[in-house]
Amino acid sequence: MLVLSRKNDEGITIMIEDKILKIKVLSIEGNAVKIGFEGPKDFKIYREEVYESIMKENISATKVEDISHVKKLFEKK
Amino acid sequence: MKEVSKLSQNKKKYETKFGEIEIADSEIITFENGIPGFEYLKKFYIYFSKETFPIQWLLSLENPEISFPVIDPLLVRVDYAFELSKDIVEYLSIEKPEDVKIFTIMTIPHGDPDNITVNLKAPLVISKVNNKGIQIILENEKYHLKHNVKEEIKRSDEILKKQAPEKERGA
Repeated sequence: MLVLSRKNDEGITIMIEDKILKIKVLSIEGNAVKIGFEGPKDFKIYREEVYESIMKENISATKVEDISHVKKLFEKK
Repeated sequence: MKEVSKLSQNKKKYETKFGEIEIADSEIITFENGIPGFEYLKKFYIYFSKETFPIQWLLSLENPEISFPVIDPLLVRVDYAFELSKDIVEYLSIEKPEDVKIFTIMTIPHGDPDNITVNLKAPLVISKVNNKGIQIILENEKYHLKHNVKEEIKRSDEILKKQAPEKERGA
């Protein structure tokens, strides 16, 4: 992993082929860092833990074996 | 003029969880970014099964092992609603609500009907205009990854009863 040290208001420029993503440290308060992103919409930016939790949920959703009991939930009494 | 013959010519056979299916190019949904966990898969198809209704299936056309049980979220949570960001509206080339189909993914644990859940945090938004699909992540704190389907249906029934008590049928 490449490690860079950045201060308040300093940034990082990432280039992928002809696309540029700019990342900037906006403020540091306690142990929370506020980060700004600027770049084309092709870059999808996610909070890591949120993306990973959705990934896990999607993976477990594909492991369905038997759905016979599911229909019952939707049968009107 | 609609070119019906052209459509049928474009049908190709795909191997899926439900056997071999003939699908026209115009029925293929492209998830350009993939689906989290399956980023390498781009081509999908919504398979409607009478047998499993109201559950439908998002099938990968590139890997027959991969399919997701999906549902119209309104059948689970009657007041489910969210706004699409400008970027997404543009990406999907949509103009009105009827231009999209919304599905949510279900997680169905084996032999445990009380713990069937639906992911209302990350719905699938599919454009009928350009056949692009995307799984978005809602910032709305009301919605989570695991809503218990049994409880949500109960809740929805209560809301419906309150809204239209005159329509309630006798037991």
